[in-house]
Amino acid sequence: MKVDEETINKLYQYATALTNHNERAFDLVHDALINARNKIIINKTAYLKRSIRNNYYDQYNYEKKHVSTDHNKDYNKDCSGDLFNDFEDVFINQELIFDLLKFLSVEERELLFLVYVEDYSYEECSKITGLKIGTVMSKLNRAKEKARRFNEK
Amino acid sequence: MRNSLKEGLSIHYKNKTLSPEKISVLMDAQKRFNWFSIDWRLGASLSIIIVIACTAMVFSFKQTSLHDRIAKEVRYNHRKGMPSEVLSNDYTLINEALDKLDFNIRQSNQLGANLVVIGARYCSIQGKIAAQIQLRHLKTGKRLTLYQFKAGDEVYEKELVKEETRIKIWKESDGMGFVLAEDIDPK
Repeated sequence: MKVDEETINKLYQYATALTNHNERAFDLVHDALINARNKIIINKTAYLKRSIRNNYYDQYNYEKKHVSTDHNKDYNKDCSGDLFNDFEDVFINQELIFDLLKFLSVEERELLFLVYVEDYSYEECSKITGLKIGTVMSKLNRAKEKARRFNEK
Repeated sequence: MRNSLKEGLSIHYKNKTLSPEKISVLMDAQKRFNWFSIDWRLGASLSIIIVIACTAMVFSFKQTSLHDRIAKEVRYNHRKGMPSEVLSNDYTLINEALDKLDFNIRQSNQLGANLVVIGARYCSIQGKIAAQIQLRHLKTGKRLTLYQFKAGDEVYEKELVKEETRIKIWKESDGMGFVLAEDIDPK
């Protein structure tokens, strides 16, 4: 069964959250759909999401090994503390979102997307990402702290 | 505009939608391989190749069968040892005697100098009129029979052994077919 247009756009948004790059996101969705086309899959959306994620992390790990792309290395240093503060009320200028996402790590972008855009619970995020719930929470807090500091600058 | 991080991210990602062209590319990417969707030119080419291959196989089978049938018939005639209707080693005399043939009996290019004609008679091969020419080997004295007939396109050179008789079939450039039958010497 084919996935519809709305699902394709959701997959694309997820791929964008991972890659932070429109073309790469499109390619990931395209590859996932091609890989799935002759398979019998019960939950196609979940399967495609996993396929997108796996493909992306394969590429990401390869690039990490061969090319240094960690733009936010220094920024991470600044955010090493305050992990469990309450940042639920972080406010940010909409125009800064795009720049903020560039400074977040892949995992942080993914978790923010899953929790804030897709409304997944921490437990569901833990299952999708393979991280422990505590790690999910601490990474989200770190992301929010980065957002707060980014907004202050 | 200042939003909460949640609102800001939702707006940011929900604005990310693909253009209709890109959606169309992705919808097409989901199409399963369908044999009925093969390009008609490819389909036509495949059909032609299959037809040619089948024809070649049938033709090859028919040719094998024809040569087998000729060999079987010639072996029977050779073993029967029917006497010649004309006894001569002169082709002109033989042709005059066997005047109902629609071709002239002639010396084949593939026969060695040690084989001499001793006579001939009417015969048939696969329903076609033919000449059975009696030969003798000058050194061994062995009797051989040579058959000459008008060969069709399906006849080509082939050598077979049928129950202790070696049969050699060939066609020469003028379209004449020849079959030489010779007993195999027991070892």
